[in-house]
Amino acid sequence: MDKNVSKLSHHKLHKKKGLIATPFNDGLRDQLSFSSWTQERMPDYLWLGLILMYYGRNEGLKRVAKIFSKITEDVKKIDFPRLSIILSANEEDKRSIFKIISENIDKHILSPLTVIYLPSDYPIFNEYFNVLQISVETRINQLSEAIKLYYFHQSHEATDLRFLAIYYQSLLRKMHFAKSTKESAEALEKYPNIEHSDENMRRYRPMIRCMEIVTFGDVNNTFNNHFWRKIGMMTSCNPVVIKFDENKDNYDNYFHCYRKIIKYLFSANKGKSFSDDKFSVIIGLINYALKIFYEINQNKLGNSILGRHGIRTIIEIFIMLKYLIKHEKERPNIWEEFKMYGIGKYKLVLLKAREKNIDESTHFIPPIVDVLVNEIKWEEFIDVDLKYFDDQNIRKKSEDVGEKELYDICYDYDSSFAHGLWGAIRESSMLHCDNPTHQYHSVPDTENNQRLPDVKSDCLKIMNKIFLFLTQIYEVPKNLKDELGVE
Amino acid sequence: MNSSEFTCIRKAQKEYQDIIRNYEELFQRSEIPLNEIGFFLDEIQCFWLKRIDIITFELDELVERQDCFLLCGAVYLNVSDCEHYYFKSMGKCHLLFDPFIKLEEVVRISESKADSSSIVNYYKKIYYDTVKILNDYQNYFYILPLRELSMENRDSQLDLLNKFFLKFLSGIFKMDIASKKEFDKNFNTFEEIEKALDPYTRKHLIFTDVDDSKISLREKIDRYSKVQMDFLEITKGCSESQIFYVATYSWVSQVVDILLRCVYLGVNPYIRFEVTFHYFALIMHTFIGDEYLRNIIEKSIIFYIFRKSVSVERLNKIEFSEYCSILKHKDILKDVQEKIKKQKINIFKGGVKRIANIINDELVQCLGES
Repeated sequence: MDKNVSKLSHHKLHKKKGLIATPFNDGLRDQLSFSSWTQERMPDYLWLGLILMYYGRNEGLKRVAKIFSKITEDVKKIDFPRLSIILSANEEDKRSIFKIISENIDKHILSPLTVIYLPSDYPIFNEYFNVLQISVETRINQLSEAIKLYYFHQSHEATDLRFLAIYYQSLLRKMHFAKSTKESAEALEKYPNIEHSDENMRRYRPMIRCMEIVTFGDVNNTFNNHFWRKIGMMTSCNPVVIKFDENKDNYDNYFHCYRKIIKYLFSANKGKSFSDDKFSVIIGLINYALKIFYEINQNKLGNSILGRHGIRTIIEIFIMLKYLIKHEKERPNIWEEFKMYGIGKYKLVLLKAREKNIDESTHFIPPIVDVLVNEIKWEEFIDVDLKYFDDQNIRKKSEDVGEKELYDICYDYDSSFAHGLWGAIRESSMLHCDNPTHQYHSVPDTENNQRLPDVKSDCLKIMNKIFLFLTQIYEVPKNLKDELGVE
Repeated sequence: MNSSEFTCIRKAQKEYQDIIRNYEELFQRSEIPLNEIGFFLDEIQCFWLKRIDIITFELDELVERQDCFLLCGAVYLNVSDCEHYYFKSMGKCHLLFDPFIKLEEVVRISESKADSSSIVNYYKKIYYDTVKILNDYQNYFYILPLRELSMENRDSQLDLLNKFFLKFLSGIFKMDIASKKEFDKNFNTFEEIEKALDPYTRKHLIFTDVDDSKISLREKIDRYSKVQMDFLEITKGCSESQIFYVATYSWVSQVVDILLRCVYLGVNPYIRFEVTFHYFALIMHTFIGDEYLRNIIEKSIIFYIFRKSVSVERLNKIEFSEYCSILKHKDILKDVQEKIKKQKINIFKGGVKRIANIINDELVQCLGES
């Protein structure tokens, strides 16, 4: 997909800060300030949107032009056609403006706004635009429809509203164009008279939007917050669930054959298991990975968060396995070191646990860990390594063994799930609410409806890679290989 | 009920009271334009809508834990006639539709001045009753936007109501009636309609009160149009068969609607008005095959018998708060249900007097009467 975004190579790496900055942020960080059309400006112009929505673009623009022309003539103190400004004008001005509006449009058109600006707080507005016969529900629905229509800042409809904002300024003769900005003046003049389908509009629209941002003035946060809170609280969430299909491939035979291979290797090399750390580490790592895959399959966890935890660990095992094999020649003790590194981690927890009262219901059972820690040697001779194994994190190890791509895409992505980072939380546990009045917030998936893409085919791929790697170390009979069906 | 429970519903009652109080001046006026009532309704509806999610949540919890009754077939409780004593007598939690919103359509469709004064007067009655409840009995009743809370899938509910009503009509006229149009084609006058009904139905088809059972259909409709707000306006220009259709539909659909909403909310209907209960009894046999519905219908019948057989003087001789504290330790409904079961009374076939006796015995015991 051709997206108008920067490539990774265009970003700037600040190694010391541990930051990859976008070209925008890198160059303009201190000067950048964000202004949101939807949150900060659209609520002010929605009354104009309701008029355009009802009459259509051509007729709507004409009617608004009449309204503006009369307001700028009769009520001189209004600098912007912003509802926040109109509603805070003095009573006389308010009445004049509402009278002008109601002389040019049907009063029911602005009636949706009366659910936000209630009679008790805005009696004059309601006097002019509250229509008894229109139910609150209908008014809310109409308002929601308008919000949806004008939500996206670059849509044709939103640009029409933004045009009206600067058109009002031009009526007040507050817009001055330098010779170099002749095109902007042309855009302002021609915009209302040509259709959006006209080729010239492709140039005019961005100019209009740009002018609107510059001329808006101060944002009225109180007004905006009131608007979004009121409308948002009165409408229901509309969560959208994404349900990826479950991978229903039958892996029973695969597990059966894989287990058979592990059993074979263990039986055929039983002698090694007594003293050969390399053998027991390799068999242990592979069986651990296979058990994870089996648990994912057996418990239907392929589409779940835990499925991602699982595949991440399987990938880590694969990288570790390759790393250990790669470095065994220069460091024959690497297999024992690997075991002692893991046991050292266990020991540290055990030491801490001995100094605290452990809740009996916790899944950490000190006597079991005690036995495991002292299984290979007495704990008094076991150091605790606080760094990564072999002082290298998994990213470096993956580079070392030529599996960087696997790390970059799958492992790093799944790490977000393991660490509970927001991307993973949003994807798995928070649903997109398709209600524009809620500004497309996210809502918790309390019913567990969201189903992520299934990880089982990835599990299978890595387990196959592990198997092929295994066959380079230990001989596996052809019939067992054939049964597993991995080439 | 634990005071830390259902805090948002409780808080909403207080806030609702504040809003209602703000309109005291409005309801004191001798004349109120309808659009001002409309403004008042806007405030209330927006107030509830803002709290609808949390109220839905707490209400679900509430009905799961307690036997809840909802006043149905009446717009407001009517404290001045001591109806609060009756309503509090059975069940543990007592819910009221927001009475102002319940009547919203009447305000919003009405344009004629003649009608507006009766609407305004009715609203005044509702207003003062609601104020009394909120001021004096806030801890005993919850006023909630139950119409809004039970509106999910309203289109399919309305579709169901229409289908049920056509089935009901087909049953009483012993012919297949598939639509309003078809019914209109078959009959021209009230007399023709009356003639097509069997004597039992003719007698039991009532609109205003039980006195209807002794008069002709034309007279029944005439009485009904005089007491029912906006009925004349709604049926303006309609044929007699259409008028009959509207009048009957309003009653039959009301009771089916009561059942649908109560099932949706998980509460039991408390019906005290005789015509509503009359229709409730007419259609209940369609639903009692379902165990859940059978259970709530049974409770409603017992509660109705209580309402009709117990004189108000027996109840209001005691302070309301004291009456409520007595009921806290006594579950009259449960005890009556057990005795009905013990005495093998089939409530759906009769036994009203025996049930009234059981209720009386329970009440004697409960109130310490000799």
